[in-house]
Parts: sequence; structure tokens; C-alpha cells
Amino acid sequence: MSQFRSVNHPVRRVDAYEKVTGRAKYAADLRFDGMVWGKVLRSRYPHARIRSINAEKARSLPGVLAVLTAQDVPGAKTFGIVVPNQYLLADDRVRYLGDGVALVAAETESIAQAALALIEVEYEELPGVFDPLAALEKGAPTLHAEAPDNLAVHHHVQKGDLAAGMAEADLVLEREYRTQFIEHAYIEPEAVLALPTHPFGHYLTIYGSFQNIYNIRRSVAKVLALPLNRVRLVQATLGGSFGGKDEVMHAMAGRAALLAQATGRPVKMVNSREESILESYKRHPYILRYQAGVKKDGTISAMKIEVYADAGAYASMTPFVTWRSVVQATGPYQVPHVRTDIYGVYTNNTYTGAMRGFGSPQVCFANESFMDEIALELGMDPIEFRMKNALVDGSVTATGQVLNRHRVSLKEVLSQALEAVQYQDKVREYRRFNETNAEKKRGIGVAVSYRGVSLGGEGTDAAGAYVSVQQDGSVIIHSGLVEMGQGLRTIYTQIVAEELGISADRIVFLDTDTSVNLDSGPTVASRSTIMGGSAMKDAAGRLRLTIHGVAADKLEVAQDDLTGEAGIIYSRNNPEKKITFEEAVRHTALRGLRLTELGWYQGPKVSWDEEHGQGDAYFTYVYAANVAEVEVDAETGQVEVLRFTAAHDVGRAINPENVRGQIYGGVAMALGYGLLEEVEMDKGVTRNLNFDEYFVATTMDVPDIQAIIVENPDEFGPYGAKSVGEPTLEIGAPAIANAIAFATGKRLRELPMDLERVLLGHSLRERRTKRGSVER
Amino acid sequence: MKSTPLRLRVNGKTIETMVEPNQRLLDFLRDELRLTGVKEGCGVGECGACTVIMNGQAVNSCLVLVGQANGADVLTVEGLAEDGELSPLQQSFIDHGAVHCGFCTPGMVMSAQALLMKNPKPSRSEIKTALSGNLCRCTGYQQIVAAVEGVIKKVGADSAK
Amino acid sequence: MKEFDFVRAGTLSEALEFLAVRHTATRVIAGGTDLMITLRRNDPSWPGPGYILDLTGLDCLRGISREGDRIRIGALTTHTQLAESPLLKDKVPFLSAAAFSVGSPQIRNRGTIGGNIINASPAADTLPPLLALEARCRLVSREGERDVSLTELLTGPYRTSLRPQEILKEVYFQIPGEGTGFSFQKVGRRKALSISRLSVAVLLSLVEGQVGKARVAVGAALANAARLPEVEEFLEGRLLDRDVAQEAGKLAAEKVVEITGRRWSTPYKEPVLLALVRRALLAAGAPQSP
Repeated sequence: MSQFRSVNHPVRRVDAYEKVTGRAKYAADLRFDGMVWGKVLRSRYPHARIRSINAEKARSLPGVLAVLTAQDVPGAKTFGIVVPNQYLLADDRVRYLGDGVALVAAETESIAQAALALIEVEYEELPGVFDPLAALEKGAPTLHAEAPDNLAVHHHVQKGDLAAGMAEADLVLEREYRTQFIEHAYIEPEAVLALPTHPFGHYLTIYGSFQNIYNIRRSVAKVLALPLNRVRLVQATLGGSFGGKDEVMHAMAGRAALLAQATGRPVKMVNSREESILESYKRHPYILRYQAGVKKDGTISAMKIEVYADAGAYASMTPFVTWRSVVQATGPYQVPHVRTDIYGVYTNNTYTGAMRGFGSPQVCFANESFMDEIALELGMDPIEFRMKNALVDGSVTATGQVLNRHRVSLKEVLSQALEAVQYQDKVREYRRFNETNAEKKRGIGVAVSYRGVSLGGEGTDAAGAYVSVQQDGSVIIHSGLVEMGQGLRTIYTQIVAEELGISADRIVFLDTDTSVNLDSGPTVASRSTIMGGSAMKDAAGRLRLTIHGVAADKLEVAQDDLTGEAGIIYSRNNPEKKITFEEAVRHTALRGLRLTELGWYQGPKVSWDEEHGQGDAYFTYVYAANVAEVEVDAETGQVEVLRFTAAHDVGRAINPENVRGQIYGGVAMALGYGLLEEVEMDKGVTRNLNFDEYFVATTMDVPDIQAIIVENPDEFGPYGAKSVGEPTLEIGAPAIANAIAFATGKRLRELPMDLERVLLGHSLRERRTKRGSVER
Repeated sequence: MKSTPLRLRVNGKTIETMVEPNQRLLDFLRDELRLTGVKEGCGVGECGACTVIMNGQAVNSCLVLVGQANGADVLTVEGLAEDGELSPLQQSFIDHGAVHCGFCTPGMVMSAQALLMKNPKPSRSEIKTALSGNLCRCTGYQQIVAAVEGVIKKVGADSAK
Repeated sequence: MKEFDFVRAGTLSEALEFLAVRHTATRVIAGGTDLMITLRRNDPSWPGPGYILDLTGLDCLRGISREGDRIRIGALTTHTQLAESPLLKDKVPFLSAAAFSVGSPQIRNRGTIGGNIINASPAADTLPPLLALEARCRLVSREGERDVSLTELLTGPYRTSLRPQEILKEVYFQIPGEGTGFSFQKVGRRKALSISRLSVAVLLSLVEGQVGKARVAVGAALANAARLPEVEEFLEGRLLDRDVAQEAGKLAAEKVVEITGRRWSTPYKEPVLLALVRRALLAAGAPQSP
């Protein structure tokens, strides 16, 4: 029996009814009277100077209401959260193919589309740079004045004495791994609807598919030269984001607002899938050079890591993404001597930014593949090798952090996953299978990870919550952190229900609105449950104190003797002494006490010393182990994932069904990362702009997934909860790579492990000349 | 372009109107009938978010010209619930945690509905096949497949009572 | 979306009459699974068709029937109908299998065999088995009917010898004799929603292990789906075993590379084609096929 009544139970999603009936309104579903359509003209070249723009013909097309260019931007020309170097509309230069050059507003979408073709832009094509290593060479074309070497960021980690560590080693191994551009592939393409300044309220309202709604507001206000209180963003139901509906939405919201101001009409913009893939940022491709010194007994003595991340045309989240990479690059192992360097480099490719995992999938792929390679060299079992070097309670991480505030459960999650799959039996079974089969080969592979929870040393980490009990005992809650499908509204509802001792169906979750909610920072870094959940618990807990105080008075019992359950507040010692929640609320209201609370939670202290590359990077960590079982067609290169097992320590599962859902979804995405997905950039030109050529795994590709929830409650999380969203996809690809290596004896060091790589060991690329034409 | 007359049934109601000839069934349902439960995710028949049931079969409404639906019987997700009462399939989606961001959900539900109309007792592999034209980026499909299996079991158990 | 007028044909003769007059400005639509994508594409070099002529109301072009020792399939027959037809599953199971491998349920419910033929994608899934069956196509226009082999109809990637005034009415083939074996093999990047990277269809009659008739057709290997006559000749009269199947596969790969030259994809397709042909032959030659 759980000690909880709402939390830790598989409560049904609070937003499911609207979604399963088709009533939920996503941004593209909204419409207003007098609404017009906005469209963006994007660049023709990955790198070019704009000589001139002539919009006369477009303006004179009947039905066109406005054609705008950079000179019509009233405020700042650029935006960006870390480095504000991204243009709302290209000024005199385009830096990648997705750059916006001009905007059109027209009575219909097809008129707007037709008008785009009438805008005459004279370009002078500039030499581009499309490879991060080439971009760092002297004399390479550059993108930004403030980065004459194309370097967007450089982070390092320095621990111990690398040379001494390598000298101690009996074996020094070096390998290079590469990862690819990945599209978020949320099924809902981006959309916004901007209403011009309210005639009485003097503020703009923008509805849209927003993830980080406060950051987006900041950019919109900046480019429109408005104070924050005059820009109101309302989140429409969000059809998936995965880190993706951030900067691309800064641009889209800013552009729609600009058009709304120019026309005085509500302006709707909806990206086609092709526009979405063309313009929106991707997960970074990394080049990862790993070197390790290992002793004969399997102890790692030193690691040296050098990583190059393709930032594409703009900084976006590259400085933070690469920071998580540099912290976690050595994986969940005890390594006494470490030097890691990571470089984020500008190129004329599509810019790269936040995507689920946020710098971990790349380093996990490299490191967990590398661990198997080292074990193989040593003639050691890869599990034994991992166990020997695994982080344990009290271990010191690569950044010098002592892990003594939480249970370091790496060995526990690994053991549970191995036990669930009967690992040793499978190893023997697949070896036997491979001895007798020539065409098909089977393999099993393991990967593990540790992951810092929430933002860590990236910056300020705090979140708020609003909980308001109505006079009839029903409850309204809202949050500045957003629902995007991950289940946040359900989790928060459960937490409030738990604290107040009522059922979840008495709680209504209000839509997210920047002018109403508490700015809680971005909904990223798997921080919603631990940060926002703690804030909800704070607010609801204070309301419970108020209401129980009144109840205690009425029942004439001590307040700490009271408990609430299923809408009844009663004495633990004498359950006959009870009062309904509504009744207690009514009395609380009659006494003039406050029935609304704002909750707040500030993340525990973290530290980061950028100069020395050391620090207590995150206040807590989660641990995971994944096991992939595959069958490889040795003659065609087809890989079938037969089974997948994922064990995750989540601290406490606020909603176990929801945690399993996160694991299943993360694993499917990891499978795509490992085997199927790649945005193909050909000299800055995106070649696959829709789902016919960008391959998201289907029902037929995803195997049965066994999700194992491990719970080691954390002192900082609400009810001990930590996080689950991102760790679920960071180690699927290396687990599959290790399984393929088991099956075929061939190590693949580049993603995706598609037909050609599996069969031939390298990729094949068609040389096409097709431009990335935007279709619709 | 000449507007053309259209007559069809949508969610049990007969509709007679004039339409633009280059409208897709998807546009007609969303823009004219405001049935925005029908979603557009790719426009090329690859994601299944726009799936509706036309004459008993799941189709991508982005690949049907509205004129081709003349005389057809079309069912969208809005037509499943009766008087606010969810269909067993919809309820099963909720019960199994199969709804995450929800954008693929209407199409997914319609593909599953089309399957059950044709084959009331599909196997797990038949369910996976029937849903293979509907992409979902959130769920990894497991809870969705479980939801369809769940409704078969539930309906089976109810009818055995 | 392109702009055009929409015409829904009520009868076949109405459709043919319309085409006879307006064929230059008209594109014919059936399931729309290919044409709708073309119409949506923002391609400034193509203004779009003046008319879209919709055939989906012509029930006379639908259906699978047995006529003596032949099977005829109406052009509007969908992939789902091909995949589920008891007659096809019994007599030519590799055609059903190929149709079942197309796209997704939604695509199979709309996409038609006629569309698959006339769109003439090099990777069209139903074409290799139809070629192996030596299928013939009946084309109709206001002026009358003509009959061509599928091989003659396919003239290049996305090109056929169908005249603009004509409609593909049906495709037909002889029912293979008892004891004929079949196999369809396909490699794609995914298990669904997948365009063939390579496909092979084999039809084989064996008498005591010896190959009587062999038909081997490939998809996504050449400009069009096509038979490989040299491979068929090589096989005929031989005792089918693994070595012979391997040899045939090698020959198939050689012939394909001979025709296409070495291309970017050759290092992959050459060995895989060999393996698929070998597998198809052994599967077709096995007692239970496909």
C-alpha cells in the first residue's frame, strides 16, 4: 500500500478528454474575425549578402495587406537567450537557408503564398562553411562579427593530472564518433495567432504553440520595443515540442506580432511541415574524439575528450547544450584524471539548439560505445567493466562534485535491467544463434547514464505555482511551466490533490498565460516535476495549513492530528471527528482567511567555475540502464530491435503510468536516433523536408518495451521525485550500437546506423542538386 | 476555378454546399465545418494526423480532393462520442495513458476505429499494422496499442456478461 | 495547392469524351496518393493542370475477377483489395504481399493498382510481381481499346506509353499453373511507410527440383521496375539449389550494374540484390511459398 493517496498512483490524464474528442484547440485550430494570413519569405542561399529587396509587385497584389522587411522592425533587430545574434528578419545578410527575409500579410493563405513569389530579392552569394572543423580553420568564411574564429563557445572540464593518469595506464585507446542533425519531429507544425494591440488594454496577445513562453515573450517585446507587460502570450494546446518550440517560435511570434501591428488585424501563421523542417533548429551533430587510459584490471585511469558541435548559423542554446555535454562526457564512471574540451562552432547549416537530451545523447553515444570497445580490448565483460568503474555513493564526478546528497543508484538500475532480461542467458542464446545462422545475427547491448537534474550551473533555477481554493471547495491551479504532452498538468493536479486531501477531479488547470502565471523559467531540463511540483506542493501545503487550522478549531482537535483524504478532514486518533473539505473551506472563507496561495521553489545551490572547469554542476542526478536486443540482417543491413528494456531511477514516480509513457516515448525516439533519423544537410541545403524522407519510427519499428521504475526518493524533490523526460532517450542509441557490434562483430561509430552503414560500415550519399524548396 | 457542388455525410449529418475545387477533404472538414479535431501534420500522407474514416475505411484526408468525397460517408473524431459519452475506444485511450500531447490522437483513434469496424478481434500484430500509418512522437506507441487491446478485452468481457 | 477545375466522371465514356477534348490540360486522379503530393508542391515551373478528372466514381474499373484461366484487375482496385483478395492470395500470393507492403493502411485504402502502374515509380511495389506475371494492360480512349504488355507500357522513370487521351482500364494475366512458387522480397528503411530501397519478385515453376519457368523482376534497381531475362534464362532447366540461386543473384546484380553503371548506391544495392534474388528463388522454390 502506498503511503500516498493521489501521488504515486496512475491517475488518468487531466487533459485527455479534450484531446481524445478532438476538442482541444491547438494553435492552428484558432481563428478570429477579420483574421488574415502571414507568410515568410526565406533565404535562397545558405550564405549571402542581400543587395536589395523590391516588394512593390507583392504589395500591389490584390489581397495583400503588408509586406515587411528588417527595416520595419521597430525594436531590436536580433533576439537570442544566451547570445542575441539571431535576426527576426535578415538585415543585410542571410546565414542559413531558413533565415526570414520578408513577411507578407494577406487576406488568404494562398494570396500570401503568391505574394512571396513576387518579392524580388537581389542576393550576392557568399562562400559558406558547412563543417565545424573547416569553420575553425584560418581563413574560413565567418558568420558573426563577434566571433571572428566562428567559435560560439568553448567549455572545458579539468580534473587531476591527465598526463600522469595516461602514464599509469596499461592500455590507451582512442576512438572517434559522429552524430547527426536530428529533427524534433513534433507532429504539430508550429503555429501562432497574433492579435494587434488591444484598443483599451494596450497590450498584444499572441496565441501559439509555445514551449518556453517567457523567453518567447522577452524576444517579442524586444523586437517590438514594448515593455514585457504589454506583450501577453497564451499557450494553445501544444502538440509536442521536445525542446523544439523555442527560438523558432520567438521568430514566428515576433513576425506575427509585427504583421498584426502593421495591419491592425489578427494574423495567423502556420508552418507547413517543409517550412518547419527547413527553418526550425535541430539537435547538434557532434564529432567526438575519445581517449582513455585503462589499467589491466579494468580500472579507468584517465580520459581525454575533445568534442566539436555544429552550432549552425546562430548561438541559440549551444552554450548551454555543450555545457551539459562537457559535464557528463565521461559518463557515470569514476575517472581520476580528466580533460574534456567542447567547442560549439558556427556554420551555415541550420542552427542547432535544445532538443530532448540537451547535449547528452551525443556524449552518451560516444562514451557508452567506447566503454564496450575498451572492454573488448581488455577482454573483459562489458558489464563487469562498467560495474568496476561505476559511480557509487560518495564518488567524485569529473567536475569534482562529491555525490553524497542522494542515492547513487547506477549499479542498482543496471542490475535490475540485467535481471529483467536474463542477460547472461541471452548472451549465450544469441551466441548460439549466431553460430548456426549466416543471414541473421542477434545481439544484446547495454548502456548506462547519469544525468544532472534541472538546469544546474546554467543559471537561475526557480519556479512558482498558483493554487486557489474556491468557496465550494473546487480548486483552480496554474503554472508558468507548460504542458506539452509530458503530463505536467496531471502531475501538478496530483500533487495539489495529495496536499489538500481531495480527489483530482475537483481541480481545474488553467491555460498558460504570461500575464497571469508566475514566470518559472523555461519548461526544460526535465525540471517540471522537481521544480514546479515543489512549488505546487508549497502553495497547496500552505492552503492545507490554513484550512486544517479552521477545521481543527471546529472539531476541537489539535491541528497536527488532522489528515485529509477523499474530501474528508478527520482526526487520526478519532476518525469520528471529521468535517468535509467543502465545509472547512466555507468556514475558512467566512473567517476572511486567504484561500489562494502562490507557491515558490528555488533550486538548491549549485556551482560552476568556468575558468577551472570544476563545480557542483547539478544538485542531484538520475541514473539509468538500457538493454537493447537486436536482429541484424547480415545481407541487407536491416536492423530489427527485438526487445528493449529500460530501467530508470526517477526518485519517486508521481504517476507511474506517466513515467512509463515517458520511457516508452523516449526509447522510441532513441531508436530513431540510433537507426533511422537524420536531417541531411548538403552544403547548407536541407534535403529531406518532410516525413517521407525523414524517418520517424512507426508502430512496426518500435518493439515491446519493458519499463522498470526504480525509486530512491531524493531530498530535494516533491515526495522524493526527480526527473524522467530526457534520460529516457539518451542511451538507447549506444545500447543498440553495442547490440549490433555483438551481433555482427562490427563497431559502428556514426549515427544513424542505417542500411548502408550496417552493411558496408559507411554511409552512401546521393549527390542531388535539388534546392530545399518550400512546399505547400 | 469554378466552385463545385458537394453532397456528403459527415458524422451522420448530410451536408450540401459549394466548394472550391482544389480544397482537400482535410481543408473542408477543418475550415468549412470547423472540425478541427482533424489535424494536419505533414500534408503528404505520411503522418496520419488527418485520418478520417471515409466509407468505412481509414484515409488520409490530406490526400483526398473534397470533390472525391462526393456522396461519401465521412466519420471524424468528433463523431465518435455520443451526447458527450466517450466511445469505448476513446475511454480506453484515456484509461491506458495513450494520450500525451494529443496531436496524433484523433488520427490514431480513427485508424483504430476503422480496424475495429472491420475486425472486432484483431491480434496485437494486426493492431500495430493498422496503426502503422499514424506517427506519434510522444508515446512510443506502447500505451496506444494497449488501449486498442484493452477495448477489445473490455467489449469482449462486457458482451460475455 | 495548385488551382484547377474538378470534374468527376460519372461514366467511363464521359471520362473518355472529356479526355478526348481536354487531354492536354487534364490530369487524371484516382487514389490521389501520388498526384495530391504533386499538386501540393510549390513548384513554380509547373502552373498546374487546368482540370482534374476524377475516376473514383467509376465502379466498372474496380474489382478482381477470374475469367477462365485469367485474372483481371480493374485499374481502380486498391492496394487493400489486392492484399486481401482470397483469389490473389491463393493464386498469386506475391502480388498480395507486394500490395500489403505499400505505405500504410491509409495509403493502401486509397492507392490503386492503376495509379501504381501509371505513376511508374521505379520503386513501385506492385510492378515487379505484375511483370513476373507478364501482365498486360488494357488502355481505353474514345477511339477504342488497345492492349499492351506492362513491359511495353513502362518507358522510363515516371513515364509510360499511355497516351494523354487514354485511361488504363485494367490489368490482366494468366493464372500460373499449380505448383508455381512465388516470392516478393523488399528492403526498406522502415517497416511501414517505406519506399522500397530494393525489391524482387520471383515466379518459379519447378518439376522435381528443376526449374521450368522462371520470372525474375526487380524494383528500385533500374529506371523502371523490370524483368531480368538473362537471369530467367540462366535458371531455366537448372536444378534449383543454394548455389544456383546464389549464381542467379550474382548474375542479376551484374546485369543491373551493367545497365545502370556504377552509381552512388551501387555498393549497397549490388550485394543486397544478389541476396534478395537468392532468397526469393529459394523461397519460391520451397514447398510452401511465398
